[in-house]
Amino acid sequence: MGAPALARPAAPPIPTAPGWPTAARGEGVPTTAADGRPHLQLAFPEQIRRLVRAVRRGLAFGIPALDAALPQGVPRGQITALDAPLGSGGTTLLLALAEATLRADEGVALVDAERSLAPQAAAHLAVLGPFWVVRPRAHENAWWCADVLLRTGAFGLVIVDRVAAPVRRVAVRLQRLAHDKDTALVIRVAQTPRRQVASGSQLPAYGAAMVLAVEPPTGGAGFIPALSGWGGAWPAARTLRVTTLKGGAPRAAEVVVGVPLPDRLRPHWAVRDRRAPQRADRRPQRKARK
Amino acid sequence: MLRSAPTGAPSARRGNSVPAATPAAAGGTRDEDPVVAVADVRGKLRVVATGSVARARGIADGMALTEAQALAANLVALPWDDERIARAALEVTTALLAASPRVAWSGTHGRTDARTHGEGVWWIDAAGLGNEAKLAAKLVTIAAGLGFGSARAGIAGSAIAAYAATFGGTKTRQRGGTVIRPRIVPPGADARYLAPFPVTLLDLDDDLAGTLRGLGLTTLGGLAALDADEVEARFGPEGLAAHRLARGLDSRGPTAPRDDALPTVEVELGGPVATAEPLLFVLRGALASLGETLHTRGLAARELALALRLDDGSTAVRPIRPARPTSHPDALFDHCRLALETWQLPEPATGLVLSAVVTVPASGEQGDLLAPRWADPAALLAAFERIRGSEGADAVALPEKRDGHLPADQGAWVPEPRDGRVIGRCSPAAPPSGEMAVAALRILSAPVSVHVRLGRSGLAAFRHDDLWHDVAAWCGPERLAPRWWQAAAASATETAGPRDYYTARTADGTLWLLRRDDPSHEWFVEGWWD
Repeated sequence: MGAPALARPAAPPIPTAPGWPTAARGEGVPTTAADGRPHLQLAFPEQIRRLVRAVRRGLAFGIPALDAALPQGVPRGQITALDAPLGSGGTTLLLALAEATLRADEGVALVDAERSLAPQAAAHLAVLGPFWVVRPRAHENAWWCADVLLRTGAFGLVIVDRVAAPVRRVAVRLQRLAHDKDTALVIRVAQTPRRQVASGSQLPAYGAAMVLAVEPPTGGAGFIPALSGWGGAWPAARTLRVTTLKGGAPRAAEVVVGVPLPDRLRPHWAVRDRRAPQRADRRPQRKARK
Repeated sequence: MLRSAPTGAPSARRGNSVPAATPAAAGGTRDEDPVVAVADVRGKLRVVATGSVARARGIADGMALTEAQALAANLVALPWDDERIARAALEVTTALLAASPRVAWSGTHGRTDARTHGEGVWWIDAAGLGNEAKLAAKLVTIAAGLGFGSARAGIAGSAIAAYAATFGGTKTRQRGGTVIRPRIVPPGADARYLAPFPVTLLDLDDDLAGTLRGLGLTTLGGLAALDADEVEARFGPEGLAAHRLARGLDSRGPTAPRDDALPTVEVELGGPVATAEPLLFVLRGALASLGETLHTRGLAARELALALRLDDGSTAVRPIRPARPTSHPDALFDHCRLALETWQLPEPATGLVLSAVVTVPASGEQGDLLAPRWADPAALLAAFERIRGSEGADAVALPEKRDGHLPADQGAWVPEPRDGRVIGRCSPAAPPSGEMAVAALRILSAPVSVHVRLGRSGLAAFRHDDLWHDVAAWCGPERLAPRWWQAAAASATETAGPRDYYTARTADGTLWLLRRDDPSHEWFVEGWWD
């Protein structure tokens, strides 16, 4: 017998989803892998996972305790109000929400109406993805900035931080823009009296679909030694309490927040720390009277 | 250049005759006078175009003016006028557009040498226009209608072959007289058709033409038969270009008409306007029109000129320079509005002219199929430009960490990302931090002076925003010196002496950053953790 004819190499399977009209061509192209997953999912697993995740739920905070309390996340296309008084940890939560949104491959814009956000506090977000901070000249211009940012449709999350409550006309327009662009708009109103937030007696009237209240622990933890061998102290971690006042079952979550140690206080393994221990008597002295 | 390609280039040619407009414009000449056009060719006045009467007297192109005057005592020598030639050529071009949508005049390019053959040649696209013989006849008829009865046409796949074909027409006798039938070179036969033509057809310079003549290369066929590498090695780029033309490889041809004029919008106001409101109303519409034109052309305006015609007949102009080139009307409107509102006009305005002075190509970026959300970077930049125009140049920024030792020096706001990309992508490999949430520091742009009450254990309370805050716990001091080594860095609000920084937790749980300046013992609130 002669040598067998050279067999043609098998054609590579066409990556396609089940149900595509491949049978019409008379080709028995397998559309799924051996484990039943579509070939498209095999080719782009991470991207498809992100898409499915993005469609399924709102935005997550990236904090396990808080995400467990908010299973649907921060709603897209709606206004979410964050009632967090000054120093209560509202900015921390907003930056955590921004970080989780950036990791989900969506852009974030933050309108810092008070122009007081320290850039080092948000510098880690700028390297994750499209994160832009808008710092208007005046408080009242923050709503116009948010309007312009929402109209671009480029952001999955727009945050307006530390601003006076919007009037109804502005709130309605922003809510419509957020709905049209499928963008989550989070508003943190400044100067909210703490007792009203704690009791929930004065809910925001600007059409927020979800209202979260942040209650810092009164009194607070003290200070702990920053470094061994150095008498300097540094604020200890504290626990915030986040309560859902509207937009879901009333739940509360506790979030532990630490204060980062500045780089200048961090020891280096190769450099001996020459700072003298802090003396107990180095208290601020009264100004000497002349 | 192929015949079937849309840039196929037949050529309609007439001889180097004086354009019809030239003798008519030369007042004092009669039809029976011999007329020539002369130009300075290498320091000597030479005839570069001849009228029919002058040709009949034996005057030819390239002849010195003195030689021509020797042949015709009543010779009328007119200086070569490029502007007049261009006007006449435009008239011919406009008429030829009735036969083909793409017509280009070869132009003089500042050369008035009679050997250039360039002044009377039009390239006309014949591709896809049907019967080529009919087209050539139509071209000749159009030229004759303009007074150029000796115009000839040739059709080929390349410009040089079409130009040569204008010499190869066949004369036929008809009832009205002798008619030259245009020569049509069959497709793919350009090199073969060009082979018997002399090398002088190529408009070579004297050195190269003399060298070829000395080598016995008198025809294009002989030049085309040489090896291209050897031609390039011996005669250089100019010789190689001539070799390509001899082989019928010619990239010249008609180009699509282009409108390179920058867009301008003019609006006449109904009457004198002294206030900004009506101007703003008109300005918005003008910018919408201008932006649409820029967008259609794929341009973005880097600089606009906003001109107002005043009641006294003068014009006031103000440049508008957005930080980034844009064609977005809203972004441009904010800039123009600021300019108008700060403009003190001496007279009421009667008209408005808005023109793009400097333009750049608009950016274009394709979206990502699998990105959950994508927006045009140009639109996003336009939005940022609007905000910057209204809120200041530093209104849109990115946070960046810096290596400073003072709390206020450990970060900075930068206007643009380092890679220049407005819409970046999150790195898929970037893992979530998974660490404990860290408190964010908020720093006041200008520290606020506060009153401090000291107790037995140090800080007891401080007064900020007309409220006394009781201090529950505090730590410090941490003595830090400002940038004393940089004299320019110290602002008016900064003191040069060292500072003692304190961290105080008030009774409501807020963590404050306080400082006391050493020389003055004055207390400030720098910020708080939030």
